[in-house]
Amino acid sequence: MALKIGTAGMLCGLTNLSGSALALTLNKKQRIPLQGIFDSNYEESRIFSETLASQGIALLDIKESLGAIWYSKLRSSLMEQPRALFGLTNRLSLFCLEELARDLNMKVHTRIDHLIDQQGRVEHLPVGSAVLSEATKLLGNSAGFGRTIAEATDLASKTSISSKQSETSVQKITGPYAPLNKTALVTWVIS
Amino acid sequence: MALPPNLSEAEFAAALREFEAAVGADWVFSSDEDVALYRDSYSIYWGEEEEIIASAAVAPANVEQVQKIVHIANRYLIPIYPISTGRNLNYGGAAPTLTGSVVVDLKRMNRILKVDDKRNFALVEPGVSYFDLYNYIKEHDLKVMLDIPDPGWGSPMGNSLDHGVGYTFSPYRDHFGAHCGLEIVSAEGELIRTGAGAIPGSDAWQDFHYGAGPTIDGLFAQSNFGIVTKMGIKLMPLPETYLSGTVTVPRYQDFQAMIEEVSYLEDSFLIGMPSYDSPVGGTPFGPSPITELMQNGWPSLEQLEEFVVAQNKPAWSVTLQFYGPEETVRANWAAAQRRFRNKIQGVDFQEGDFYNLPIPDEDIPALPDKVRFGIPNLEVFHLVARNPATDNGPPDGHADMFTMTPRTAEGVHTAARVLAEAFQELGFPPATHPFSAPATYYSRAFVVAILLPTWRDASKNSASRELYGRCLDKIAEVGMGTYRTAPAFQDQAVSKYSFNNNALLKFQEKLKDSIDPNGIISPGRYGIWPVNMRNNRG
Repeated sequence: MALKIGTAGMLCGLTNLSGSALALTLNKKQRIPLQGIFDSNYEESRIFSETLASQGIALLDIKESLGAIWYSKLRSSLMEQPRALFGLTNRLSLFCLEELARDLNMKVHTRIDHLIDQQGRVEHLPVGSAVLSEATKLLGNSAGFGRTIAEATDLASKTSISSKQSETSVQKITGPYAPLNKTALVTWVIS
Repeated sequence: MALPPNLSEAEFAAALREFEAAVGADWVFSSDEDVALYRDSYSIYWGEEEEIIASAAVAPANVEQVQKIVHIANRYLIPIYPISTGRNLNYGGAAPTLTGSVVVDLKRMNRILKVDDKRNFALVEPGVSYFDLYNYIKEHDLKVMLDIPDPGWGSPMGNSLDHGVGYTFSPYRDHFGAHCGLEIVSAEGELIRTGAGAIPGSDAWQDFHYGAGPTIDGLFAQSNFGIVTKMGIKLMPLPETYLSGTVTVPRYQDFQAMIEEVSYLEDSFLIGMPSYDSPVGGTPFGPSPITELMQNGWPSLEQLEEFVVAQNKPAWSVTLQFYGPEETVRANWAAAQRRFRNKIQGVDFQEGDFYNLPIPDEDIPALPDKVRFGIPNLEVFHLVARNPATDNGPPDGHADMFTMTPRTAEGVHTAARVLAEAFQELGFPPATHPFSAPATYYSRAFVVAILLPTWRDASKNSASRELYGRCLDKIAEVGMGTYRTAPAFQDQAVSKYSFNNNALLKFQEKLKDSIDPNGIISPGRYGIWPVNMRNNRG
């Protein structure tokens, strides 16, 4: 059940945004389908979902009840058809999903926190990789990064990168809460 | 990678191969990334040497595989730590109580074996979550209601065995109290059923949980005497309606009379879980009238009464819940008002929400307090925000300090006072005050609850640990203890139950040494260390 998907796949898209290439593949022959997860309470997440939708990626809005969605839909559908979860949510939802995903031995492989202050300035905090740090500089410090993040998937078919790496440093690195007076969104891949 | 105590890498590798043969290679997890899934997300030792880390995890699919795991663990002397869903955050989560233990993750044993809405029980395996059971009841249109904890992502079995609690009627919200029959794999691998389940061919396992002779069920809660593989749960018949009503009393000293009346109603089974509050309480953090009031120590009764008058609000409130046919809930609310009026001068009432049950699906998302209706959710995470007094960055979790008090105003006030002293002694603003209201998870005792922050930062965790330990010491000085805590504090918490030179713990240790002679199951859980590991205590 454990699908391996690594930082390398995420990097590909973020370091080559003009080409918008992100390979999310199990190995060179088998591509992992994506399941987009978003939270329509947040503008960036809505933008993220619209961009993923334009690429034909299946989406789930967890606005109302993450727990009900996991236990009623997502867990069983992932058991039937393994997919990588690609999300832009708040920290709380990632925190819960990370715990829930243990049911299927799925884990966080890529994580970028986006801290948004009350003036709308965004600080991106990638975890676990210097290359990812460089790549996230391309996201800028203002609204709209949700689209850029989502576009990083659209040429998944063009590139195949085998990545079975995983980093424990990406797992469980924060609790569910945001810093005072900031919104904490997170881009993540769980597989 | 952590190794089990006193085992070489080669020996452990051999044991892992045996585990793989028992459950299948796909269900033995020993890579660092896999094992990291079993870290306690709220650990108060996160990243420190003392953080308890598993060596591996193994996920059996059935009872026979559990028995094989137990036999292997006995052969290699490997400590094993069973979890159901492993989501009891605050109390260790999926992490074991001893570094190097192999987590026995029972998530694959997730069958709902029976839900009977005529005899009102369920029989489940450990990997079933409250969400699963709720969905099953809805899909099968069964006329029963769950009593659930908050959040509801855990396992009914695991929650009950951890003495978890809920939010409805008293016979159901004490979850272990509402269990009815266990199936256990003993530490030596033998399969045991309790109560009528021990009679071959019995159909009354969930109807009669005593059997004949001593009951042993309690030995398997908050303990380490076996691995429970099935459990019965008593369920509440789906009530026809729900009504709430709030009672307020004007004076600080009215609290005891209010408690006595609520206790009468609850012990007569006329109400569900009561929710106490203080309209003048507010938050104790930062500048507030209460912090000013407490500046010169614990206020006198006279000062408190003057404070209430100055706030122009009632001193105390309690929200009562009524479940049942509309005729009876309305009659019980009327009777409650009559009794309060006869007892307390100046009492006031506010009728609350009325619902026909079950709540229609389309109304559930906007429904406040879903736990009152047995609807599992994760919304509590939104509420458990921060402690502003220590908010130099958001905490990453919390360690809940639950003080059990007598069901009296004096008990609540005493706990609030000594907890405030503990905070002040260590330089923190107090988290409790004279208007701290108790929680009523258990119907016959009060809980004064404090949430201490945990972090990914060792220096901050050190302060939280010191504070938590001080709180445990202070409440013990006034004859109080806690009911549930994380592994980091379990030794200290049980050490307070020390009557007659720790006779209780000594007895538990004798049982441990007899029942689990190799000490393989959850060593150290709730202070019960096997004979070969007693120097680990503390």
